[in-house]
Amino acid sequence: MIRTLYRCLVWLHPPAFRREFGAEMKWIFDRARHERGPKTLLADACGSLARQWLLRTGWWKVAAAMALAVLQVTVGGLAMTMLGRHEVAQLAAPMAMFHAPLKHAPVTAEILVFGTAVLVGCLVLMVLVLVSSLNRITRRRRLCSNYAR
Amino acid sequence: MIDDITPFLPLSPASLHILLSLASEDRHGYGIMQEVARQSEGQYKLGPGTLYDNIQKLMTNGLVEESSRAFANEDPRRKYYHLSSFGKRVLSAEVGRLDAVVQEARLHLRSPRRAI
Repeated sequence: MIRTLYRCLVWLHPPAFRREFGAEMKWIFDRARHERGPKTLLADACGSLARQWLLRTGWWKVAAAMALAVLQVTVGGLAMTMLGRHEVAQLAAPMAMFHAPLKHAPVTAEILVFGTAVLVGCLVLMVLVLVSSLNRITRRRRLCSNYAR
Repeated sequence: MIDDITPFLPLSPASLHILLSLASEDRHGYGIMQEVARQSEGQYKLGPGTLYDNIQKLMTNGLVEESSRAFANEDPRRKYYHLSSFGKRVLSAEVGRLDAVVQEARLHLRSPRRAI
């Protein structure tokens, strides 16, 4: 059971890392599980999994962008809620054509789907913009450090 | 070939122990783990994930190479690692740096200055 769990954790590593070191990691687990204890080895594999995906593959940029995008949407949503309905109606006045039918109509499945699609679209857009800016920053930093060398 | 060793210093504890364990002979991953535990008298134990993450970085930077050493009766999954000449230079520089730190620390611990 624990061996299978460890194998799954190894399998979840990025393909390049898994191809290079996966077999050895499994071999070491078989040798060291009684000496080190399976819990320690499992914790190490979990740490390695997070490190490989988030730090070594550049996926930390997507995770950071996603967190920032969710934060923006949450802050925006909370601000709108706190402003109240009247202020929201005033703010949304230029979009009256969208706002008017929604104001009195009951929330239907189409409206929910439309709202979800807009929200997901906004999130994806924000993530793309943030990832590209993070890429630009890290590339500039890398160029600077190479130049410094 | 990279000549400048300064970007690699100071080495992380894991990298330092891995390079030290490879200084005497080529070893496979499990051998490195055992040697690191022996060197630190069991105080520092590397897990396979941490070990291979560091080996990957060290190989990318040219400090460690995969060795061609292989034995007939051994598990084919075993890979041996070898300290490159550049890795030896980085390790020597790090040991020198640590030596200076230890000397400085001893000096200060022996005659502590009193604040005025």
